[in-house]
Amino acid sequence: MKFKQWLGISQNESKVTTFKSSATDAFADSIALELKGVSTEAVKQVLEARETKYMKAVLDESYFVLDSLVITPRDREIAQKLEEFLTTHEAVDTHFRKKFFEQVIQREYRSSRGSLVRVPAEFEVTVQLGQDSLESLSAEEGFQVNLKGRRISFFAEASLTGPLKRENTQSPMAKAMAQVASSASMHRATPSPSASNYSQAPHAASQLEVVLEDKRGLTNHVVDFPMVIGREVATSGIAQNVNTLNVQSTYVSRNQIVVCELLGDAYYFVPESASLSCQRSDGVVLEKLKLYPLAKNETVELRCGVEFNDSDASPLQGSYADFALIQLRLQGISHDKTPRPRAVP
Amino acid sequence: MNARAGGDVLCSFKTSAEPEIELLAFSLELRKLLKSDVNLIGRIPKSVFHEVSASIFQELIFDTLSPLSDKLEDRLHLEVHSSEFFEIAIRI
Repeated sequence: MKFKQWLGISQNESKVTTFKSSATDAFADSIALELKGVSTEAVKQVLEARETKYMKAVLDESYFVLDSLVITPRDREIAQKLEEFLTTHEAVDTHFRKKFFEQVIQREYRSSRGSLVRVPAEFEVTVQLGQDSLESLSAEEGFQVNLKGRRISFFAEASLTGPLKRENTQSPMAKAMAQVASSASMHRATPSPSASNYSQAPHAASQLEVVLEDKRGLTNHVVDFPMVIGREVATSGIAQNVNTLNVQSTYVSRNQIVVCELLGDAYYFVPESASLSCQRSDGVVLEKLKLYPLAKNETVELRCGVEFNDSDASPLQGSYADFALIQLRLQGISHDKTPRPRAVP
Repeated sequence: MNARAGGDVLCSFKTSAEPEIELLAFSLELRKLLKSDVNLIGRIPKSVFHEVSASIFQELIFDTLSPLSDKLEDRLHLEVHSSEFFEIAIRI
């Protein structure tokens, strides 16, 4: 007689019934871990094979996209278990398969060399039964194990597309402009030990007046340094701390003219990326990356749409809708001059 | 040498010793063959695999064979099968 029977307690008295689902949980946990492992390994393998074709500088500024990930069960037993597991849960939740594999796939994968794989938001894993999953091993009820004796349940194969440029990557032009902007802001923020008013003076006075004559007609703008003027320049990926001014005209480059201030002096130049130059009112066609000083209270007139190296270019006669006119005028910069030694009386 | 799916069988054996001793013998046979350049498939009887603990398996197979090759995972595939014999085959 058992102890409970001796006490007079019936064994069927307990009304609490526990469903034994721990085996299913253990299976889900183990395959989730295994799937995570094999998928990571597959992505890493294909990434490492691919990244060797690119320089590290390219990899740092770009990313690959996970195009497909095919998971194949290694043997018949695993294939059956997985299919049963997914089908059972899909009967309850039609989106179960997608949700389950979302836990398996990481948002990003990285290699030791720094290359990056991103997984699209709507990415779906493919479970595919191969020959191994159905035939060859089933005859012997065999399965593969790794060298440490762990059963290998799945095989994964990944494919990538790309590389694509990372969104936050700055172009050389944007980087250069950001450096100019940061140096200018540092210059303004750091007071000189010898002249305490020096930091405020140029900032307060160094404003650029730009008069534009384009499709919209005549418009007047007062802007701060540094400044990029061009077609659709606001959306062309220039650094955020750079001012931009759009020109609506047919023959104008995206980054047509850059105006910046260095040590209290203002300069304008045509950047490397510009495909067209500008002609000054004195007939000079601006050269690429050559700095032209902008003197205080001087007005510079620039006509857009001129070819580079066209030294004999006659002044343009077309409409401003095609060949815009940009007038730059520096509103009186006043800064402290270097003190000169004077004879002591 | 017998022809078989997955490659020619180089050797097939069965001893009447303890599972650990049998696995050690299998490991030593693999060690001999891995010194050449061939890629291998090693087949372990299901009964032996289930008798041996993971740590013993790791010690007898992984720890013994790892020093032979940097890419041992690529060169040697291990399978568990329902036969009572250990087998080593060339992987094609």
